[in-house]
Amino acid sequence: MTEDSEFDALLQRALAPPERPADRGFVVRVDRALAEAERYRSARARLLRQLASEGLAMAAVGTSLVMLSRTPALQAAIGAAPGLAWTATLALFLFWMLIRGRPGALA
Amino acid sequence: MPPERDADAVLCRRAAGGDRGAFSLLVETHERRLRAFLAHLGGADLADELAQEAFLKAWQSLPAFRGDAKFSSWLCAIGWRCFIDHRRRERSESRRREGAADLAETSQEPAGGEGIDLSRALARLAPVERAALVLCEGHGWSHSEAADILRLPLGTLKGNVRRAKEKCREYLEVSA
Repeated sequence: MTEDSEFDALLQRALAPPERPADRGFVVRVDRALAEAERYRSARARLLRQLASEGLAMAAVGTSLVMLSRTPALQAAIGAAPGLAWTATLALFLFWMLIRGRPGALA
Repeated sequence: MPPERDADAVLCRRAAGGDRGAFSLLVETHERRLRAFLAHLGGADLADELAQEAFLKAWQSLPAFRGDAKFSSWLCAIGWRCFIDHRRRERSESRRREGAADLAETSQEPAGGEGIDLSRALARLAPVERAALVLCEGHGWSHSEAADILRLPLGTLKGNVRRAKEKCREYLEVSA
């Protein structure tokens, strides 16, 4: 055997993966990490969906309020009593807080 | 297609569809080689951590795995990128703390036993040289497969293997 092939054989022996059965402990650890990552991913997706739907709802309510405030009758009422608009907005906000705090309140 | 590659392809398809049991079988089949490869780069403890990270990334990217390459080489490439990312994080942390040791020398010195000199010689190689040498000489990948795994041009990979062998041989001759 030449010096080169001896050296190659030495490298091969030292660098080859060990001959052993599969490490069940490691497989279980990876499976747990996978389950954890999946849980995190679905919780994140749920949160994003919720944020999107709430953003949409708020945009819809805001647009409705703007449209309502442009009706001549309401504009006249607000002109006569400027506090009325703020009172209505505050009442709406309190109502929203109430239904957010008790999801079954309107059911 | 060789039978083991065929079996991997079936398991990959099932795992890409969300079958965690199929993925566990893939982990069981490939953990030994991946952890051995990563252990040569950063020691056994880091290898376990990086291998777990690599399997997680593989699970998340499986739907995009087209099966052009072997699953084992695809997984090995993910493991190598995990190691590179880890090294980059360590380097930026070291820079913040100042005066940290070069990571090329962070591979663990062997505690004793057969091959101790060779392990010391390996510890003196740059990570990419060590990775190229381990893949080609120890794990039996061809030069072009190893170049794909390490994302290097074929010529660069061959140069790394040759340099790594020369450095190891020199070290062993000096220490003999």
